[in-house]
Amino acid sequence: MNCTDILSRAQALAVELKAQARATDDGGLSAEQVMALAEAGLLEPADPAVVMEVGRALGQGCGASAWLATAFASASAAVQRDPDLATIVGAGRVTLGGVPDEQTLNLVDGQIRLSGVWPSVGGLDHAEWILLSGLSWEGAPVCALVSVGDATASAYPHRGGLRGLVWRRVALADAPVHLLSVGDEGRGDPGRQALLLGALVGVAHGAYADYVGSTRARISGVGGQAVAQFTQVQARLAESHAELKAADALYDEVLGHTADGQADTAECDRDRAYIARKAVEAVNRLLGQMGAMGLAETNPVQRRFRDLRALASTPRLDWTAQAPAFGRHELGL
Amino acid sequence: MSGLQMNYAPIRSRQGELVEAAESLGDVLKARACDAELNRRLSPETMADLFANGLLGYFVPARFGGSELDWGAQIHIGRALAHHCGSTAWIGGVVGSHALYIGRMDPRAQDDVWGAGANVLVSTGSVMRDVTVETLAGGYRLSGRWSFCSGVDHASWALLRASPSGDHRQSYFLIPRADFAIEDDWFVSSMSGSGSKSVLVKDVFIPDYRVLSMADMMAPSPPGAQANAHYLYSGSFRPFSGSNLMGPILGGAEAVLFEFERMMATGEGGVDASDVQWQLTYAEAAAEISAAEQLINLMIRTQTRYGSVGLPIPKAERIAVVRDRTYAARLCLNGATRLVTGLSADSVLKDAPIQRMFRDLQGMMQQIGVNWDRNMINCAKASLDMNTDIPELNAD
Repeated sequence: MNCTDILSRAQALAVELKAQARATDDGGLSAEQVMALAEAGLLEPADPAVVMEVGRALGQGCGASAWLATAFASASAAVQRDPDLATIVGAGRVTLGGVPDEQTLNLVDGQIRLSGVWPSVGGLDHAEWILLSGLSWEGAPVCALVSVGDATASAYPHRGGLRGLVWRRVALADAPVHLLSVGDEGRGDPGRQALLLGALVGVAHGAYADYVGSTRARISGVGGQAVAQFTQVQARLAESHAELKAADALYDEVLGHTADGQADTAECDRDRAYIARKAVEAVNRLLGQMGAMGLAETNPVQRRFRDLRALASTPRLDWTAQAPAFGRHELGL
Repeated sequence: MSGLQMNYAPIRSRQGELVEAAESLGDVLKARACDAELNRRLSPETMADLFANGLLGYFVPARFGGSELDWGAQIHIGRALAHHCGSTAWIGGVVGSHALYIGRMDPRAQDDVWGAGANVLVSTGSVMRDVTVETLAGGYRLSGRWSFCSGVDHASWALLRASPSGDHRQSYFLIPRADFAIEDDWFVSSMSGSGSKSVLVKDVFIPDYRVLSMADMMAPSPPGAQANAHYLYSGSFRPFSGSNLMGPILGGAEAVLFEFERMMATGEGGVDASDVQWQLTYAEAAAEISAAEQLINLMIRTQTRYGSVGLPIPKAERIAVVRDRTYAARLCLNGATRLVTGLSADSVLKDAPIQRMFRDLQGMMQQIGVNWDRNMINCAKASLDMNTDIPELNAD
């Protein structure tokens, strides 16, 4: 299966996932949906640029699916770098864990064991393994691979974004783990967080398309006028479109650097975070034009905005963190 | 002590008591906030606490046992409640203030609502669909569906807007709980605990005395003025409308700020108090929210200064009220957004209170009363003596 095939399949599946997105948000991604992603080959790509593009295509339909495909593919690729771990994992699916609230790594009877709490792990219901980050062993940053069976997962009330991933709080108590050294692309998660940019851009475009479709037909609840006729609505739409267009241009450049293996630079970090910032601003502006109907969970723009915020809070895509980092780089610090 | 001070001291004292009571409920309201969101309504216990502490009776006329406070009480109370739960603040500071409308209606309507006691919630609805109004001898027959009726699960009455003439001239229709059904359609991402479901009315007869045109509701000397002398029931109401939201909005932004301060102290959410960028973020947000507070206080002073002595607010100051409250709301949102934007992914994804506080604030900002485009465009038009969509800006 070549890259064009994979993207065609992702685009086709995105249409189906979009139709199911409300139910996914309410009940989580189903086994059938994840199976469809797997059968389309969307959980396997090892090429970072392809992973981004798959995320972008899927994100236009469903943010949770785009996150899951990106996370599973990138976690799998990270594990495959280590032949021993690849053997251990076999055909099992791996999801990514975030930063722990607390953690300790210990050597017990020759086996490395991990205790700690990871407050939010997505996609756990569809994975056999979790790749946990934010750890260090003998002074070096590492990730830990742990079997889902050795973890205690608990649900918690989550009303924020990417609900289809059914976020869980994961606790480990002296669980046996396999360590994976963090590669040169790694900061936090095994260097793959940055690939979520594709999903983020896809979600933003999905929100824009949903907003345009809705606004074309919308009649003002007070006054009964066609909302599309309002000049300020037209002007705000143009501003958001221009922002997304600029974000697209930067995205294409970052994608090119990713394909060339040259995306782990301060400038790319800055651009990824700036794209995320512009995308959030663009969709936030559109949502603000929707008035009280923008609150409704049945409103796809509302759902996509939640998903977008969750994606934009990924550390590698966070402007607050990346802007001063670029400044330090430019100033030689 | 002057006569003026003697008149006002008890009023100030009662407002202070209520704000203190609202703050004292903080731990309880915070503990219930998540359940309120998941249940999509406030709990009966929270409603009982609000009633028991007088936090829904500040605009109920004194003759029914209410506090009959000055304008601004609802904003201060809503602000205090929002420090702990945005949805409770909405019910306390916005829905509770609708008692004012009842106090301006025919005294018989007031007796219907408060005759058996002042602890009554009146839910309102203005966004309507499929509404029909038939004029009959002695009253009207009403049908239709009204959305965004906050707190309706706990309401004994609904005050719904509709047009008897079929045009833009609307009236308020006061309907008892037995005469309307609730449609459970409140599935939202913010302010979920406000329980703002839809109300369904089918062929209900409403006597004349429980109907009041919006023009009469807003004008000086409405029917209720013959029973209630306080300026809020007897004077022009136009200059006051649309400002109730500011209490929950300011308090909601402060809630985010206070929670951020706590996170700075503990290092949660990736917030490093020793990092200059976080320090700048915090200082700028605090300044924005503080500026908003000053603008809101100025708005209340302007409204009260004229309203309390029965004088019309000059047009320039009416424009300033709408413009400044809109700008204050934007400052609140900007400040809160600044604080949450850089938080770690875990703070967005886990059940940290700050994410609910921020979502609630965003939800409040969707209200038309603080809509930036609508209000700023109309303020500009009013300044140029053009006709606007906001009635209080049109008169000279």
